[in-house]
Amino acid sequence: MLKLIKVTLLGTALVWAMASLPAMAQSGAVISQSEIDSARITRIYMGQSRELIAVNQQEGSAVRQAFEANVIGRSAEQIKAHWSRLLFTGRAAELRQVESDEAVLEYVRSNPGTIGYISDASKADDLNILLEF
Amino acid sequence: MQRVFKLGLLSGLMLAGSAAHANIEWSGFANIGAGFTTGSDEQAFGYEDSVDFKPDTLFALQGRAQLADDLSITTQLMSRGEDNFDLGVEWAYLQYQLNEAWTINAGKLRLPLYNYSDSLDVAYSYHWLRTPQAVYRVPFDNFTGASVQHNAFLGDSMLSTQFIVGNFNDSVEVADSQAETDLENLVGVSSSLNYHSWTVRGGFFYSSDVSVELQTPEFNGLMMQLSGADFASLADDLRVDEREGTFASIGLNFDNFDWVFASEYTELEVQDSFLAKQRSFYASLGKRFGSWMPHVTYAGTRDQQADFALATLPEPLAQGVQQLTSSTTQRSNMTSLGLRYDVRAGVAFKFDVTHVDDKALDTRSNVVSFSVQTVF
Repeated sequence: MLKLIKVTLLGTALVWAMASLPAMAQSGAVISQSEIDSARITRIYMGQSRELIAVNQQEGSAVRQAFEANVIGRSAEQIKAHWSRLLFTGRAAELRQVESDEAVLEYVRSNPGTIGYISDASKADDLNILLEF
Repeated sequence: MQRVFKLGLLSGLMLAGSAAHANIEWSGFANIGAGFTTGSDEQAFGYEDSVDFKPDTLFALQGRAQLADDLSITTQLMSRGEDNFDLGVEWAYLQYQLNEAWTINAGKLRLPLYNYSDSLDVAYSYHWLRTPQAVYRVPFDNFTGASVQHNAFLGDSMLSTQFIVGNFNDSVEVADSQAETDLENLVGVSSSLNYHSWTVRGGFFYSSDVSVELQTPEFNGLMMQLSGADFASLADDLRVDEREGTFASIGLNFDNFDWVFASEYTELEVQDSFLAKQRSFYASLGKRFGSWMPHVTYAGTRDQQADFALATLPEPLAQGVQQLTSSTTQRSNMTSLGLRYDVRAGVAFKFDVTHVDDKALDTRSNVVSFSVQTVF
């Protein structure tokens, strides 16, 4: 009896997990041709390091909001204030901004030493996934 | 010479712009502020009791031309309300990126005296409506020369150091009047260490020859009277003529994107002159609630009046010297309550009430100000 309950529960859990898989949001990914420690991603996107050249997505886009909230851990306003300080003091140049995952993929694939992020990790193919978010 | 240099940089920027206009980036920022004092005889931060827009209003446009991967030219054109919106070249410099760690700048640059010197005009980048005026009171912001910037990562911390060398020459406000001011052989270093939410910063600056040519009738009259009464050496001692000057600052900041704490202490001294030894401080605490950020700041000045042996001086002359040295001596406390509201990324609305208790003049005033600050 106990065994039956366990099996039923397990089976239910499995079915539930499988059923919900397609419904789960696809996860975003930080991608590059290079391998770096994920802790350095924040430094690069906060303009403190140029060990890789970063490419950004459009301001206000869902993927950028998710990246900024989950990877950088700060709000768009806070990041804007931080960057305004860097830009107007010549400490960093504005990051290149492109319009889609495809444009990020194309840029990162054709330029070694660059880093980008996309909304769908499964599109990364041959590129290194440094972090999923 | 400076003008030729500026023009050279400007035309260089234009040339770079026309040759490769894809490589030129324009950005800008603006502060539109309004304020007033609450009492009819009160004056503070450039405000009086009728609403004024000039003291905290400015517009700036910055152009950056990337000449090569490691070489760029930047100019910043600015129109300040306090200068009747005359358009001026705030910065103009050539930047060479030696490698990942070292950057060299040359031209007309911001003097990094304070923690917020670099972004002083980009008020959007900090929580205050204006930086604490008790501390941010050196009457010039820029110099002509070169700076070397170094960034080092040590584990989780970042050490950022800037060395500067150059000079300064312009007319600035000293003792409530314009004075031709000259700083020769200006050298300095400022360094900040950032570890997670904490930043400590220190700076030290030195000029071998500081000269301030105060030309008020009172000052000239006193100098003539002293010389005429056989106190010419005292007159020479009072003058700021090729004196050594030092400026030192320390600061501690905390920002975990929830709570913000900022503090600085500064000392400015020009040896053997009528200028007071300036000592200033502030401490500020703020907390973010979504787009809202209320904050409170306490700041003060504790200047030391220049001391001269006046016992042998005739009474009116002693009084004149006393008046001169006390005119540059500030003793005040300033308490500010402020609110920042982020309208959206790139636009902030700010409100500030500051109570100024001037102990040297024995006056008290309240300044109320509003501002919309933006970057674009």
